[in-house]
Amino acid sequence: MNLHQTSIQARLTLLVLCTVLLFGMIAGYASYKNAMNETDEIFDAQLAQFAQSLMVVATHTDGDDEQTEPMPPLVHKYQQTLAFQVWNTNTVYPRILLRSDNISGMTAAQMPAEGYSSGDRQGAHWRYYRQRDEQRGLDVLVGQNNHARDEMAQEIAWHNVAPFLFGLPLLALCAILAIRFGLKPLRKLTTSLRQLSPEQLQPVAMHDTPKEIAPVVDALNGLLARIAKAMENERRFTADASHELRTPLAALQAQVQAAQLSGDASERNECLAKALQGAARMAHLVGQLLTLSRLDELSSSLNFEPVNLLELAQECCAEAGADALAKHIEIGLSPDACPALSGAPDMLRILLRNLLDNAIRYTPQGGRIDVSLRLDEARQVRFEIADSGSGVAEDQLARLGLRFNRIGPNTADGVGLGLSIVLRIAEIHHAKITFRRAAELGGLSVVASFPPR
Amino acid sequence: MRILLVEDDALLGDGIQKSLDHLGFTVDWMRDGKQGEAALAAEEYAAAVLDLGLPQQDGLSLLQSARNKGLRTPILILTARDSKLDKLKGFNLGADDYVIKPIDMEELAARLRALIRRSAGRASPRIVIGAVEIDPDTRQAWCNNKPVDFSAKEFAVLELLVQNAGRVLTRAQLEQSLYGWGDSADSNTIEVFIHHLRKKLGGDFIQTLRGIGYTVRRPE
Repeated sequence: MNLHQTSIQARLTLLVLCTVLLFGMIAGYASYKNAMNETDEIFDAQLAQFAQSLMVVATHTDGDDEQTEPMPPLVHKYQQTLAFQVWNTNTVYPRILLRSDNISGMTAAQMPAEGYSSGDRQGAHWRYYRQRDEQRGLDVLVGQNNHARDEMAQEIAWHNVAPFLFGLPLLALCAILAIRFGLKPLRKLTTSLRQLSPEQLQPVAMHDTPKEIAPVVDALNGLLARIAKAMENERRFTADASHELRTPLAALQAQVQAAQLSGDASERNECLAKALQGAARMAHLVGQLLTLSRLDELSSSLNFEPVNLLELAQECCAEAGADALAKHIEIGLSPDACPALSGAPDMLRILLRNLLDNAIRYTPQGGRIDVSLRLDEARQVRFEIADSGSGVAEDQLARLGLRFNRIGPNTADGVGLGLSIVLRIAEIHHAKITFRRAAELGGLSVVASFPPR
Repeated sequence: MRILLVEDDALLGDGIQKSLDHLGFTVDWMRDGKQGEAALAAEEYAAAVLDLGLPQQDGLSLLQSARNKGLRTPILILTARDSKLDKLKGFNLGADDYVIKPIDMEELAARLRALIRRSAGRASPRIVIGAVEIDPDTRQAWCNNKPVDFSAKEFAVLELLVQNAGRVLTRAQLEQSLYGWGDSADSNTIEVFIHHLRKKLGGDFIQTLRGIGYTVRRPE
């Protein structure tokens, strides 16, 4: 695996381990310190108790001479090496009543202060406790070898901390396993995503997906559905396009063969003229197909600029005027002041031309086409083309704009792509196209509403 | 031979009608599914050429309803839909042939002749009756093994009589087969064709049943 890639698993593991280690160290140190203090206290208490026991015993001792007694061997591993010295202070010169043999005699001046103290003697570090009793005339000093005492305390503290320290690696292992287990849904998601291909874009299964990943899977499924739809559209378009090219091609061939088979010159000319008409229809279809594919290409890299829609509409109406006149169609533009749009002028020109061409194509001889441009209440620019053609049945209105959908008999030489192109351009410009019955003229009315800049 | 063409594309329908007309067929051209179904039910056609994407009624449903009514007319589907599924559907619903656009007109004519021949129960294209032999596919005829030339309409009348050898065809039936809807024939045109045929093939090949019609002997 690439080390530069961030892995949730590695990050989580590292974080959890660092946290555990940090808290382990703090807790371990505190526990060690605590154990040391507690044992210190216990040993000190032990010393005091020992001193007081000695004092009681010494009260009933009336020996004259200094007596030295060896300490009996230790019987418990926590038992400490202790030393003691008991002085009689009732005499003029204090003298030692009793002392252990593991500590050399101390003069009164050498005695540490009353209470707890520490000091070096005979190359070792000692902890002392000294208590005096004026009534009884006794002065008791007990000592404990500090080295042994420290060792002891350390051992006890260590026993406290050790299980925790040995538990750390186990804890880390458990954390790693837990994280691995916790991230299992992610690995499952990866596996199911790997199985996707452009041909197989089924949505990723959502059951037992944790709720943290669910939004991701959801968004992914949404994207997959959109891609699948786009690809399906593409496939259908290719199929439709090849289908739509076949009929004009067949017509062309049939007319040319009819001309070949005919012995009559005028019939032959008629067939050839129709063949030319068929070729023109195919050229138109191919042109529209190219426009449509170019639109898909263009929409990714568009430069919007201010467009004067009124000027553009006038130009397009003028271009289409010749065709309208040839069919004796009265075409008129009723302009209204309207602000400049933001758009791609070449595309808008195609949009207007397609709408105009459609209107002319489906309006019978002597009909009328009204083009208007105005600003509505919502400050949207409304471009409307209404014609006096036969219009479109209410139930067919929704099917308008589907690729290769032609309305009515196949006599008009449309190829069923014009409105697809119009809708695509409108979509790129965030404009809305609505189809309805033209109230005044009775034919079809197409309205393109462009949002305010 | 009279053929029904159901095709909504103006240029293609016109081209097929003209081409098949030159290739010896009489073509009735209907532009939508409803008209096509009505014509198929009302008239007797030697075969039908059917487009699938039709206004009013889809070609496949037309085919299905025609077959459900027990119509045995050979039907050739001429369409742009080229998927295997579409083809299988067409054949399953009772199509006799399935042709993808575009198609050569002579090939279309040959396929139609083959369908008509099969529906008449013959495998060989040539029909021999006495000294006369005709090949509807190549539109040739021989009398005593010598080729004879005919005009298109003369050959159409001869072909019709020979295809229906043993049956008596009325003048109205002959006229109907020879002329599509809207074409009009002079009342005595058929007599003129019969007269020409008799001159080329000998007087006793075609027999007249006075006041009824004409017939050709069934081959032994």
